[in-house]
Amino acid sequence: MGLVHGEEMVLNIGPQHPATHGVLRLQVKTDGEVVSQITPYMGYLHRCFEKHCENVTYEQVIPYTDRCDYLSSMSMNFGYVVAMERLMEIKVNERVEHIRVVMAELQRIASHLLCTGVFGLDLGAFTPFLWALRDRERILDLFEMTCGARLLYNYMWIGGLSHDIPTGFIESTLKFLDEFEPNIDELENILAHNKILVERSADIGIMPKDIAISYGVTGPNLRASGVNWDLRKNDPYSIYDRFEFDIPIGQGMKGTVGDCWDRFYVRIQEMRESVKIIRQAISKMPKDGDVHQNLPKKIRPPKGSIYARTETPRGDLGYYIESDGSAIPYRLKMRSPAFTALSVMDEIAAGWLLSDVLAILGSLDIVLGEIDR
Amino acid sequence: MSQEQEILIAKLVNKGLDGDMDSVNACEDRIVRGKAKAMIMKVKKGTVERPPVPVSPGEESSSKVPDSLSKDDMIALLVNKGLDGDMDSVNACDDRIVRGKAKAMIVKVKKGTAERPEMPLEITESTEDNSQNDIKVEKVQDPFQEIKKMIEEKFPDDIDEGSEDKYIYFKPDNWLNIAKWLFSDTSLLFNSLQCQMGIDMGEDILESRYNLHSMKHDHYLEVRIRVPRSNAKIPSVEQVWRIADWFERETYDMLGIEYSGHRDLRRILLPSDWEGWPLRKDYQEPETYHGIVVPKMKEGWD
Repeated sequence: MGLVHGEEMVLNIGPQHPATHGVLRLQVKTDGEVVSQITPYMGYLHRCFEKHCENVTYEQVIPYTDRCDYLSSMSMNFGYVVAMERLMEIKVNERVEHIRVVMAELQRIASHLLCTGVFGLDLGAFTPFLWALRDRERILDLFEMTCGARLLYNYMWIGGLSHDIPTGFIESTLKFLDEFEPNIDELENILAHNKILVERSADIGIMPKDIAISYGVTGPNLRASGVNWDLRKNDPYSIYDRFEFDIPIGQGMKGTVGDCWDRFYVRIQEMRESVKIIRQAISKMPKDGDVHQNLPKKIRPPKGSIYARTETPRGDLGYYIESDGSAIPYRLKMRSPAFTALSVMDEIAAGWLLSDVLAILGSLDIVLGEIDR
Repeated sequence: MSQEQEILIAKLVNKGLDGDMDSVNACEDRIVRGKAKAMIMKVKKGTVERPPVPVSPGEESSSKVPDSLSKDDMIALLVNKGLDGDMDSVNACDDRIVRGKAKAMIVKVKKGTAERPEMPLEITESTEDNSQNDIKVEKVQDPFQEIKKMIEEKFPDDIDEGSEDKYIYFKPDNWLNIAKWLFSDTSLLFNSLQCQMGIDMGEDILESRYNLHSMKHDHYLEVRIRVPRSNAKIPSVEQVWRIADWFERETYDMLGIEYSGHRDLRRILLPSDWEGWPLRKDYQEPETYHGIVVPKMKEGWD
């Protein structure tokens, strides 16, 4: 039966809607129940991050990076300090590097837990969401133990960390990992192979390779489209080249490569890889080493520019820093992974049903704080 | 004591501290062995700092840049060979980076802008892998010179002055064609636009910068285009890399650079009725916006 075309209707999803994962407005043009065009309107959370950065010193930028992607603040800190250390050609000691990797990977698990849980919630499964948050809560407890904050850490500093890890942190982390690993299987069993979720997400919102690359989509979304690209392997920063882990890519197990289910499943698999990395980092972590580096109180990087990328839970996070030799950045640009992921929305969601739009949006795992900055 | 002995001592101390006491004991020079052992004890006690791993020519043991020494030697060797008329061995080099650098250097030497490098003493194979032990701060310099040469051959009239080792300046007029070529040329294949940003350089100059990356060849290029404020127009590349659509909208939003040929150029983060370009250095915040007073607290900022 062919499609009967009717009158076009414009429907606004958001700005206040639980499925938009933040304050986002999607203007959807629909033909009956079929979506013909999606225009995202954002900026509701615009907090002038880049303008602020031109008015504060280099160290004072770090708390602002926390607030960009509030679901993976550690990774946002990490990207910034990596960029600054490359610009200033600072080496940080081994202990700091290992702690950073442990924190970043814990953050990746926390972020993926929220994403997979909420993805289920978007599609009507409430219980797995609570399971995911239960485990995420324990990671936040670990962070709270370390730096006192549960969401916005300001933990990684240029050349070091704000605090060393406390006594008992390693034991608590290992205990958490031991208990968490079976939970991943549990989450996978209840969600990934659930008939309803598969029906709602497999073969839906397919993102082909070339589209993904052209739209600058990175991270798990790109890998789900079958591209084996992870900065931790392909352009290793920090000490990621020392760890053994696999890069899960989309296989099209339930449908086509690059569909919503693949994007969701890649994240489940990535949590397992993160657990591997944390275990290795903890076992190799040196016992001594000062986490505070002797740097001048006012950091003045040499004149020049740097573009450095790191792999956050959402993809390539890039910082472009232009320094004029003073204590304040001349210009700082954040290339946000969720920004590029949202831009592909119109391309991959047009032609699907209205109810699929929410599945596609949920599978892209966007955080509006980072898009609007 | 001679310099060689000092280097040897530093080497042995480092080996000993890493647990390899056998090679310290195996040293035949009694003075060197004794001094090295004494130093190891001192370092362990904490009275003396660990000496840096010495760098000696012809040996692959630099702990800072594991690969560069042998690559530099390779380049020097190739340059010498090429200058002596043996261009075949330069072309036969498998490493694209080394080949490109060597060729660039030969051209420079011939022009007289660079000096002929010294012939490397000897090239030894790297036997131990030091890369495990140090933190990679910067990737080995990408094959920028080769790319730059290709661009200079293809678009000699479009390169603007100011290009340096990390980036290349283009004039705005032909940018779309250059971008299409960068995207599609099989040996470049810049299929991914990593980042696009605008910057106010002062003195009435605005710049648009593009960080390109090729996923196939894994090389990078930073392109910069400068335009005067009075005529801030740059051809849009949104049809080459689709992500440029939103990146350019953001730059337009923040700096007011107009991307001609963009199909949907409007503000993206700020409301559509906002006035002014906030990331320009001379931007003045409005007094009010729709009747809301804009607070201006700047005390305590440095």
